[in-house]
Amino acid sequence: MKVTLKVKHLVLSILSIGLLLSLLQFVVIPKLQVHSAEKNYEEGRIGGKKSLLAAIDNSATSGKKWELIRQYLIGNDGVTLAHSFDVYVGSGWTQSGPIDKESTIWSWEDKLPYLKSYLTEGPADQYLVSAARQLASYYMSEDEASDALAALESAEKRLTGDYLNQERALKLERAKIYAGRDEMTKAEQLLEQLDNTRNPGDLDFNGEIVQVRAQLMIRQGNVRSALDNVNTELVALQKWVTEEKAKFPDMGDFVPGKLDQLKSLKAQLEHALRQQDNGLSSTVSGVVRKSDGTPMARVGVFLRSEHDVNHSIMEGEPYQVLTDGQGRYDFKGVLPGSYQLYIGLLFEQIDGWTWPTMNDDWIDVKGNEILTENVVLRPLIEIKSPINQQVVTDSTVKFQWEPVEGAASYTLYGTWPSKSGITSALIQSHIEDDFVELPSDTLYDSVGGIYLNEVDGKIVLDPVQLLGFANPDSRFSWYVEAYDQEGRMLTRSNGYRLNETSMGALPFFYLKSRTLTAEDRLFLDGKMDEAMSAYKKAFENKPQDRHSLRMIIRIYEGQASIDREPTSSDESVAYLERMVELEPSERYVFQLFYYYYDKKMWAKVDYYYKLMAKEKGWTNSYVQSVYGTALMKQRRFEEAAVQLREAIPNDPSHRFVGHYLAVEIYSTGSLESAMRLAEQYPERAPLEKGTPNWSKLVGELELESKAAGDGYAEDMKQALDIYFDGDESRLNKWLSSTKHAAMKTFVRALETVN
Amino acid sequence: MRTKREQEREFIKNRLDEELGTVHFTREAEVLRRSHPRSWLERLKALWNKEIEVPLFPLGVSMAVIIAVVALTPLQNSMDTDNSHEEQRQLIEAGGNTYWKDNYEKAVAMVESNPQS
Repeated sequence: MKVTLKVKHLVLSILSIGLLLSLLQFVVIPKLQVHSAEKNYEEGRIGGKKSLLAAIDNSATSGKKWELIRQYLIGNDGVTLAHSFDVYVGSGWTQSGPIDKESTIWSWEDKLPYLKSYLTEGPADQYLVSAARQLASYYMSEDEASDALAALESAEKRLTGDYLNQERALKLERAKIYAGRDEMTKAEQLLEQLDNTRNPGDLDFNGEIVQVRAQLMIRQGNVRSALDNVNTELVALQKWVTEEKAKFPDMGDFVPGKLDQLKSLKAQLEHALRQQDNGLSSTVSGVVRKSDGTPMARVGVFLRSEHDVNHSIMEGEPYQVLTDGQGRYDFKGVLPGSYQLYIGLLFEQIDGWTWPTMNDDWIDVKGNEILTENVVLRPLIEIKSPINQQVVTDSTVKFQWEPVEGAASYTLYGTWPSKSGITSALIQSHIEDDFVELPSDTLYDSVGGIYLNEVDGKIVLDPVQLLGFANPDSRFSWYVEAYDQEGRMLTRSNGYRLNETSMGALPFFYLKSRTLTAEDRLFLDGKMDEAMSAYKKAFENKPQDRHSLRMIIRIYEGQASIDREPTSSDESVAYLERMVELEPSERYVFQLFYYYYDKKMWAKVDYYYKLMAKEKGWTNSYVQSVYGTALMKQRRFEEAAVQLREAIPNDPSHRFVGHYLAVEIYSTGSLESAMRLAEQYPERAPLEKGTPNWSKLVGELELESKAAGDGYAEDMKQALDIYFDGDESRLNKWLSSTKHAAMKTFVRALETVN
Repeated sequence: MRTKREQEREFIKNRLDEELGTVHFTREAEVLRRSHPRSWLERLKALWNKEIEVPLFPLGVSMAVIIAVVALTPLQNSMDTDNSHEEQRQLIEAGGNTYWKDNYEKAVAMVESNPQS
């Protein structure tokens, strides 16, 4: 088939097709590419960051380019260190963002050129301020304060028109830098300019000015003025809130975030003043590096007061900084108090490494001190066996891992998944070699906490979780922690393993050295009552049957947990005792010890405590403190004091210090020595509200005793006697009748000790 | 002596001249220019308006190929990078560790295809 057409028609149609194609190539397709790059980045796909940067570089118009930089690189969160990292690690605690995505957090390497170009050429808008602030924090970490100041100033100059608030934000940022460099006059000048343009409704900003000014005053040793300043702002803030509430009665209860932060600062300042006449501040500094010596640049470091550690890291917390090129950080003007160090890392910084910080790693800042706190990341331990889903059928399991230099002992844990989550259970502690060969019975005895599920409104146990290592169908995994001579953790085998080298061997294995019994099947089917009678029957038929015995105990334990009983149930005790007869293990002996402690059967408590004390690693500061408490309740004060004196320094939370004070006050009658102990061992339980401040309580006792005169010590003894006896009705009677308010508060605080 | 055929032709011509004598071609010159172009412009115009016969099938195919190549090249490029994006990258917590899910699944598949005991 042929068509007849004129040459001109042919040429014109070719031209128009060409035009269409170029439109497609240069307009439509780039748009689609940008769209897909944005989507990839937002959804956290692999390479999403790279494709977004490419889309920015290839933007058709500068308008689009700035828009992409604004939206994805400058963003709203990037300014604060509290949102700039993938993983935050603090005292025995790790937090990361949503785990179902690739990180959308940029490394400085990626971000820097775009921020710089936005600062010099981008539109003068509020994002310019944010870009300048981020650049300033980068330059500060490079120890180039003049560049940081220049970035902020140039942004301020470029802002024209209605950007008063933004200009003020830039000024405050400069003031912070001057304050950090001890250029107090310059900082004060800027703060004064900000005061002159104060906007009463801008609570956060006004609060921040006060925080910066307080910081300046603290650094100059003028805590009193700092406190006055904070108080004035607090009054203004509260007045504003009251007025707003009157204006908008429907607004409900509204507490600005800054109010809480200022209140917490006020508490710290008051604490500092109590400690010293005019509270001298301290410096906390150090280096963040890897154990091979590599300094870790641009890691977020957060010094968090005990008031703050019960929530995740927030923007307004006063001590946060980026490490410089040599991994150094430093906080000046730190008020006296208890702090914990947290660090923020990108995935690539933590991959294959761990910071072995422990629960209750506290930094006690007294006043006028220069403290050095270095952070050393260590490589994860490589595990050797069992690995890669190996199936173990022998009656023993040999765990082996790469030895860690300087390790005095290792602790081995196992984990397994079930419906209610992942259970992690201690298998063995105090292992001295880089391997341990354990009979499978030891693994079967390991059990984690008891998880409860709700099925059709009924609370039930999770059989797979409770059967633990005795379930040949479960896939188990394990990890190991290394400790030095002093019991400080050196490193661990579990952590971030994000690339092929750091991944190492998979820590999974199957334990198929036993097969499921008929009773186990009933148990796994959730038929608890039938399973229980079947286990009991099997045990009666064969008194050596450790598995049935173990399961009977475990079901009783689960039942006690459903009934919210604090200790083992009375029915389970006979089985526990039989188990201890068969083979005493730490777990069962402790259960009996605690059961008899709760029942105040002191002879048994003594017996089981001695059993534990004989074995290495079976007692710890907690067990010893409970035993000390048991002795205290028996009025065996001297022995109690010995136990508590030894246990409390080993427990950084000092949770039993109240009992130590009670023993001291009862046996010596001296509030002075109790005061010294209270100051030496402050109780710290950041996750609990209303943790007693024992030194304050004892201080009040001292005042009350001076005012009350003779007879006070005798009243105190009587009150403690009632407390030791634990007779609730007598205690309540005393609490409602006593005239000694401070004594009452002290006894109430004792009731929280556990 | 003229043949009969020549006489017939002569006669028809005379008749035609007679009948068309009143009809006059006003754009005679233009027609002549078109049928017998003299200047280059005239030649170009002639070419511009020349009718050509084009076989439909090869023309269609070649157009389709050109469009396809031009349109798909950039798309192909972005697809290439997209292919690696296909899998959404997720973290997974397993055995106490945090892995990229794709790495983890690959490693598990590998040990499962090569079981040890």
